[in-house]
Amino acid sequence: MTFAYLLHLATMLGINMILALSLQLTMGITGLVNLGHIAFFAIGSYTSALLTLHGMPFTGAMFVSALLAGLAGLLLGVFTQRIKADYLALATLAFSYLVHALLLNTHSFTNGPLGLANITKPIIFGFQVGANWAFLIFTTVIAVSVYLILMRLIDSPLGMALQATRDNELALRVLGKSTLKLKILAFVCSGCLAGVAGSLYAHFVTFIDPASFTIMQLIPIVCLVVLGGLGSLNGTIVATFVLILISESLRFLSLPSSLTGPLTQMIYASLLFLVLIKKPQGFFGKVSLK
Amino acid sequence: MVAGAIYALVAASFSIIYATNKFLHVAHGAVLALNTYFLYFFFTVLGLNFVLSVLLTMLAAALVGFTISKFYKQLRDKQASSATLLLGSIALMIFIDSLILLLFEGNTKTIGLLKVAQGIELFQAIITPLQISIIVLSLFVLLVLSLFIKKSRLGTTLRAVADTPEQAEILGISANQVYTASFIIGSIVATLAGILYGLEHNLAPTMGIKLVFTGFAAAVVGGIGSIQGAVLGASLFSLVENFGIWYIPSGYKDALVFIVLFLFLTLRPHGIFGFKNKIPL
Amino acid sequence: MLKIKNLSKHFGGLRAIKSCSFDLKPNSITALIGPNGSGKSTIFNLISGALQADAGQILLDSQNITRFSPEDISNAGISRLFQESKLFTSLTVQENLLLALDNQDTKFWKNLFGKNQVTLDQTNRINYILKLLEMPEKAHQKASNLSYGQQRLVAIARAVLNPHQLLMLDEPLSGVNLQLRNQISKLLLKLKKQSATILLIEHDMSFALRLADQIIVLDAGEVIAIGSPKQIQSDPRVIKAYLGNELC
Repeated sequence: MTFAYLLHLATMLGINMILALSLQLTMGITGLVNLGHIAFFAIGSYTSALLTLHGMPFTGAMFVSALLAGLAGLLLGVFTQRIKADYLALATLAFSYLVHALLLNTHSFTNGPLGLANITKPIIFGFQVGANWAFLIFTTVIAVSVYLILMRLIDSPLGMALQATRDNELALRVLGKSTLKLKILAFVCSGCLAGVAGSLYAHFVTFIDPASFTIMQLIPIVCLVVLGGLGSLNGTIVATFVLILISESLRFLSLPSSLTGPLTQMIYASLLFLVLIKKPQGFFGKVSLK
Repeated sequence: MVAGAIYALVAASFSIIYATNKFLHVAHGAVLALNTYFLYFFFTVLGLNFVLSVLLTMLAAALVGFTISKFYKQLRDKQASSATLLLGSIALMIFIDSLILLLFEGNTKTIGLLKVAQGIELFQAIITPLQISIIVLSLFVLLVLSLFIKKSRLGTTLRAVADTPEQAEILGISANQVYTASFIIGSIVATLAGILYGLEHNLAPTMGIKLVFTGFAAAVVGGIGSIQGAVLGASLFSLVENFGIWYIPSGYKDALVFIVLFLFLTLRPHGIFGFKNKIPL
Repeated sequence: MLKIKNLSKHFGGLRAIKSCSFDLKPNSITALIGPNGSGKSTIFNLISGALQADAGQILLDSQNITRFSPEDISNAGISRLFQESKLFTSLTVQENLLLALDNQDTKFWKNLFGKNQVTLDQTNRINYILKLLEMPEKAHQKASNLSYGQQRLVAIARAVLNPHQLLMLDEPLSGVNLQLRNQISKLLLKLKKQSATILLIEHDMSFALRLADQIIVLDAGEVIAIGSPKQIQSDPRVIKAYLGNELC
């Protein structure tokens, strides 16, 4: 339980929180069960890694990552405009699997299953964010900014319209608002933020491969959003702390590593199932899943 | 062609469950994988007689189907929406997949039953006796299944409950029992597919995903809820896969399945034979 | 103002609407009546864009709105109330009504950096209608906490606040207790005095006959009679269609 380990844990917490908060925008606020979120994360990671490995400065790379991930959001928003609920969930899930398959197989681009290594640490305004503490500060700044941005949006008339889309889409349309535009906006914004998280992730762990971006990594994030409560940013934050601490405490049981992975997944899966049965609103949520 | 037959079984079993329960049971692949691993356990690990192993596996499959149904009942009793049921299904899928990893570890296993035999030449493709039996068996099962759904009392009950559960209840049919029955049947048929697959290929914890996604894609393309649709979809997919090998690098085959699935789900969710929802917004 | 020409709609084998035509004059109240299943709600869905017609035309002041989406139809000037209230359940009453008022800006950057304050004008208009419906104290209550009847009132208020030339109400009085019915009737009569153009579906025959200037009778997807309340009451075809129901 070294200090370096704690710093590492805190940074991963921050990155996961950005992912979960951005998913809250589509799932909780706008009512879109977007299981393609992990694909946004993957696109952000790979874009940032590839661009910096080819010499682009970090800030530019992060910007482009957010842009491309946002574009993926646009794609999903446009394609899924006519489908709802479980079909939407499945289509977006298929998208995640699709992106994963593409990352795994375009060897020339992404190095396939071997992944990308030696990703550089970010250099911002000439300062290299290399040390763990520096990266943690960087991540925290971004996480707090994301939180503030989302808070602002949710409390605004736009946020009200997004929630109305979730509650009763047709009723909002007959009031003259284009719910298609609203849903696409939610997808794009959520995608951009997930892309930022992806960029952070790539430069933090300095090695990424397709195996880091599967449904196995998505479920804990969905768990965070549902457990903390749909529609509640604060709930997501609390849930992130609670769950990460639970899964980290598994380390103290000194089980062989081949067991901790599946066991953690089983805990997340059971928690998700339990929440869905017992308390579908989550702890702080305003609504349950449609 | 062999793959097509297996996909068709998976697609059909998935369709039965969807048609009766009206939600997408994505954990189906995990169930299939789990049961196939049971066969591995009985046959290869315990060394029991093959036929006995298969019977035990079928029993296990029925039990698993039964248990899964009980889990879903919990959600259904809370008036869960279809999206909630789907998420619950995903949670189940993750749970079962992880369980497999926990019990059996991640390296591949084989069910070493028949040695790779010399193939017969048929239409310029080599096909082994094993493969022939797989196709024949699959077609037979599918035929039996279709007849069962159409003619038998349980089959008609299944369809009645699928259409209007409330009216079925009034007539004295227990919807819950029917749901359970559909899961048991679905589980058994899928396990059959898994076993047939396992005879030809290696077992890996992720086998469920590939099979169920392709089977599911076939069901969606052919029309969810229709067995003919499932067969049609599966045939289409296996055709594309087999011809695709010559033009597309094998890794992209997976991507292709997901692209087709994505397109169908977003543009034509009712598939080719399925019914368009006629109720207004 | 609103012209319906040969509108048709079928669902699979069922022909729900068979070539209906009628006109709505401005500043008048028209009631659409007919037995259950005659297609009244379907006509509403077709006009408001929730459903697409198979044939025929819908013209609003000579603008062809037949293929318009629901939001375009609302912006063209038609406001609609549904049979179920369809409130935004997680939002407050005030927020439900704010969304109806046209000047709700949903541009991204403006919302991120702008002031985002409710204007005095908006608050006044909301309070005015809430006072009319005798529920001003409910403004900040979550919509899901209201009773069925109160939700109906809010839904009606929302439809009225949505800027419009034509107001379409699908059974505004249904399912509410007597006291609330009186409030809604009061509101509708007030709107009538203000020369509003309203098309309504209502099963309460006496109310419809009292309020409306023109009655359209629908039976099995066809318009069987159009006329003033007096004409309709003595029309033999209408009486036959209702077969035994009293038209008082």
